[in-house]
Amino acid sequence: MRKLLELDDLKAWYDPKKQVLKGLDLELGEHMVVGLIGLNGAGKTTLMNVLCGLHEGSSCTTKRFEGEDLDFKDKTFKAQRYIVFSEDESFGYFSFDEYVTYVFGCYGKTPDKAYIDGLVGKFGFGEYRGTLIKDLSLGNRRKAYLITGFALKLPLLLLDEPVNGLDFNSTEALYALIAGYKEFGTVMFSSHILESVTLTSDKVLVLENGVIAKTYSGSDITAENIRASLEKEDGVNDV
Amino acid sequence: MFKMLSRKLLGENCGSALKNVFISVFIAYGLYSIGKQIPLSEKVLVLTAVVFSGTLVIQTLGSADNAKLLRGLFAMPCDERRTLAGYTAVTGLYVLTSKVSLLAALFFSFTKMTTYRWVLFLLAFLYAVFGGVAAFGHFRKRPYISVLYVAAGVAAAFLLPDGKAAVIALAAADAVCAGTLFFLKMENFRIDPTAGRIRKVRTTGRPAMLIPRYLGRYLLEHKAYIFSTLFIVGFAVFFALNAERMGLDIACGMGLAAVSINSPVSTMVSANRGLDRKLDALPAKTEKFFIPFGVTLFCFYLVCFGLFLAAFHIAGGKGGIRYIAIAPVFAAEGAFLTSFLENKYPIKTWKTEADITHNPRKYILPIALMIEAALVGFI
Repeated sequence: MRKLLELDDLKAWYDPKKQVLKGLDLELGEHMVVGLIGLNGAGKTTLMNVLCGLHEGSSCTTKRFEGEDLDFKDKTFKAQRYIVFSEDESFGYFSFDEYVTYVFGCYGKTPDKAYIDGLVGKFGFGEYRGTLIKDLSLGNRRKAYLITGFALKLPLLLLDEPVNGLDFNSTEALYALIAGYKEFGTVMFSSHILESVTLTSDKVLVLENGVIAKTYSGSDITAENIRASLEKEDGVNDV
Repeated sequence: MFKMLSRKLLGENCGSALKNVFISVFIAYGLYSIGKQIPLSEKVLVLTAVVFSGTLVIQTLGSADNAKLLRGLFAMPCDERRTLAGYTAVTGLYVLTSKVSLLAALFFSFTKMTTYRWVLFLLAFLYAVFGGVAAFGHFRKRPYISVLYVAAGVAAAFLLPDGKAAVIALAAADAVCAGTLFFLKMENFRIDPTAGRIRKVRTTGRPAMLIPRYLGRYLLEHKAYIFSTLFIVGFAVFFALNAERMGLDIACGMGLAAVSINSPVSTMVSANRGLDRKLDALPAKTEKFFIPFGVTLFCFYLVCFGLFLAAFHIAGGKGGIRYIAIAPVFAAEGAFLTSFLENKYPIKTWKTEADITHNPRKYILPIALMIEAALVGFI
């Protein structure tokens, strides 16, 4: 499997004296599903923000995307990835269809209408397509951003806590879409829900104290293994 | 309760409020140094204070930010009277420090403010706070009472007696108004701006129109921003006319520059952290967002400048002919500078809405245009 993203010794901080990510090494292959799991405050969202060039305080000795050196803020890298944030209130005055048109324009792509219609159907979002995003409920807003992310079919899709706010049917649809995204690229998603990683992931990264403490793949990806790993880290288990 | 509520609107330890007062004092002394005085009757002073402050009180009580703040409050077992008293005090202090202090600065700078006038101004402001809170609280169930409060405020200004009687009358009106707050409960202030308002929009297939449409909807949603734009234009006309009558050749140009102080539009991205973050995360933010944003702002500024120049001439202003040719240049500069600043230097460290309104960044454009207006005046 070819390497998609390689990071060595990634450090990130809000206060330089207190690092959130403490020399993290990350390697993602092409066309795979990677689950990122960890307790509250482990640094999952910070890692996502660093990958999107949104976090100012960070350093990294090696950064490569598809074998080439990368800059998180560079337009070329940005055009290869899309992120769905855990909390998002952006573009509230667009409808979903307008948002899709706008985002596809940013990526220089033409929306595949039939594919988008299919995704809208899977998430049961049809009646909300023309509603302003700001007027949507939390779950429906999340669906609007998720559908856009899946429809772009980019080499790297980042999802921060994608399950939050989704109803049962949409969660099932999301798991199927995450597992099927390998056809187009790699998806890395963070989650507090063990089921979401065990049902979809080829590789699970356990983030502890700012580093990848444990990696599971293949048949090792079981709820028992991951739970044991998290319980060992801290007496509190929020999974 | 006061402390909990004030943290949101006035900042930690009232830090934002103090900063805003400091800025207003700075502006007051800056404008005072111009040395121009305009005669103003007590009735106009009181009417301006009541209408301006009252509008802002109602706008603050009905804002989406407040809806979020109160949602948590309603879930708590709070004492009704103390909560309402704290809520009224915090709202009043917020309006006073963030917006009314600027009005006070203008009065201080351009008209003779004796102690007697300051007392009238303060009493008029208190009437606006108590009356505004009461009018807002009654509006949903008894809108006719709200109308009575507004009418009483305007009537108080028009029927204001002279001398000490004015102070006594206004103080009595304040006491009565404050007393009527006892008939209200916190429940009367519950608002949910988005509840039941699911709006469908018609989507056209023209990507070029997406950003103008976005900005248009943003302004229509915040109608107060449109009114504040008209207020700024009105103030600029008043300011420029008086300055011209006092022999200032560049008065019209200064008025144009004053129109460009329009923070809601010039800080649309800064005011929405989610939008700012998303734009940073997406590729081509300059080409796909900030260029069309700038073009839309150009049209917006052009309309505002057009309104200003038309009103200036209708009101008898004379020196504005050359500025008809310059207005598009100012509009283009305003659009470019605003878009550039929002793109490269968005305001990120704000905690309250007033932190954005009074950020020094918003004065860059008016000052730049003011200098240019002065240069044009010397040609």
